[in-house]
Amino acid sequence: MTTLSVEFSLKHQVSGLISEKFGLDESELLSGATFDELDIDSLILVELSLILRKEMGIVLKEGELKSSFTLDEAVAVIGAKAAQA
Amino acid sequence: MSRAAVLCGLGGALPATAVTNEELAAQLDTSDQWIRTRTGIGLRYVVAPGEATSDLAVAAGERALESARRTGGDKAADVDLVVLATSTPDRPCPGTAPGVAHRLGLGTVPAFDVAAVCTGFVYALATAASMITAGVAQRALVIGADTFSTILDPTDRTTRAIFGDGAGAVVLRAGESGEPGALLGFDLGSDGGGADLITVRAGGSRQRSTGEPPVEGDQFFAMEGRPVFTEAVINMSESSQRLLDRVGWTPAALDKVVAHQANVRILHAVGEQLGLEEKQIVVNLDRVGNTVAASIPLALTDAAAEGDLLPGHRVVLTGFGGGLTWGSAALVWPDIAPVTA
Repeated sequence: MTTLSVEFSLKHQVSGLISEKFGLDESELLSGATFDELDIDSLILVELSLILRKEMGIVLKEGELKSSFTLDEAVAVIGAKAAQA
Repeated sequence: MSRAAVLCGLGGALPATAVTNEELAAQLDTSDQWIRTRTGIGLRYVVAPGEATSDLAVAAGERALESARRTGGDKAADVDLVVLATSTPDRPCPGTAPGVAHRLGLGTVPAFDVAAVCTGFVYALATAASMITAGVAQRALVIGADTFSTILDPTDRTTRAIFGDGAGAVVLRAGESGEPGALLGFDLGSDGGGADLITVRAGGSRQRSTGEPPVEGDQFFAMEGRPVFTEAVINMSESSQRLLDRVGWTPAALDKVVAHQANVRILHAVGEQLGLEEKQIVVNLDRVGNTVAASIPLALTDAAAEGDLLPGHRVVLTGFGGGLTWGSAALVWPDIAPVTA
């Protein structure tokens, strides 16, 4: 797979996880809005990090996922960690 | 079969004053909805002026002894050891447990405190159970009691919403590992690298040896919410899993996990990590908040009183707290009657 398609599939995996686990609308997540703008509280990002750790073996440090991020920015951080794992 | 400590009595006590989310919202920049969505808590109890941790510990202790008498007769309350988990002792010195034993009329039994913050009850349980299996004691009263309302910053909307005061207690007796109620194993751990995440900075030797008064604010309890959330979920899940492996139970075969009642979202995240269903997770923090060392025995008392926890259930207790510390215990629930009032 090319880097682009890896990021694309990771993006859908992450948006799918957020919408499934936290009951949020996937199309809103994909709209380019920040987590802040989507009213996603900071604990959801902590909960998401814990789910990513369990399901994908990706270990994110506290504060690496920020509520000022868009989904794309979060996926870039997650993708970089996944490449290290 | 081998000698084991067997749970044979259970009781809990709360102070008289309840504080609702609406009452907090009237004093602080918060709301019922904010508190409920972030913590799951609707109510907590606080001590009255002049009331102390030992007052709650004595009430819970009396009830646990009464509970032991109801199934085992008068002899069942004849304890020869008191272990009290607390990080809000009545005084810095001496320990709170001897005074509690004295007020309970237990004579000159050994009595001491264990300080492991929210993991305190599991640590105290492991200590008392080990003394029973070693033959040092025959019957023990194990109490978890805290009054965090006395160390909170009155202007901190987060900690004031989360913490409540209370006490819970169990009676352990010497028995056999095959009996219902036998403590089947423990997993305990700590990581002092995380000491600053959950702390009261002033009031101990580090600050007092300076001869200077504490820096304003350092006399209050402080907690780093997000890293604590992560550490709590990882350590309670991993500790529970290690213990399950040792005991030979799968998460699916477990009837109830009684985890430290820190935050309902932590409880659900622990369930997610262990692959549990919601019905396996005991929740009572909506009614009492996070009562620190009292949290697990109070959750046990509520769950047993409401028929949520039944004789024969496979149960794991798991806690996490300041230190950092964590710990878990496993048992098959015995046929006992908890005493709450």
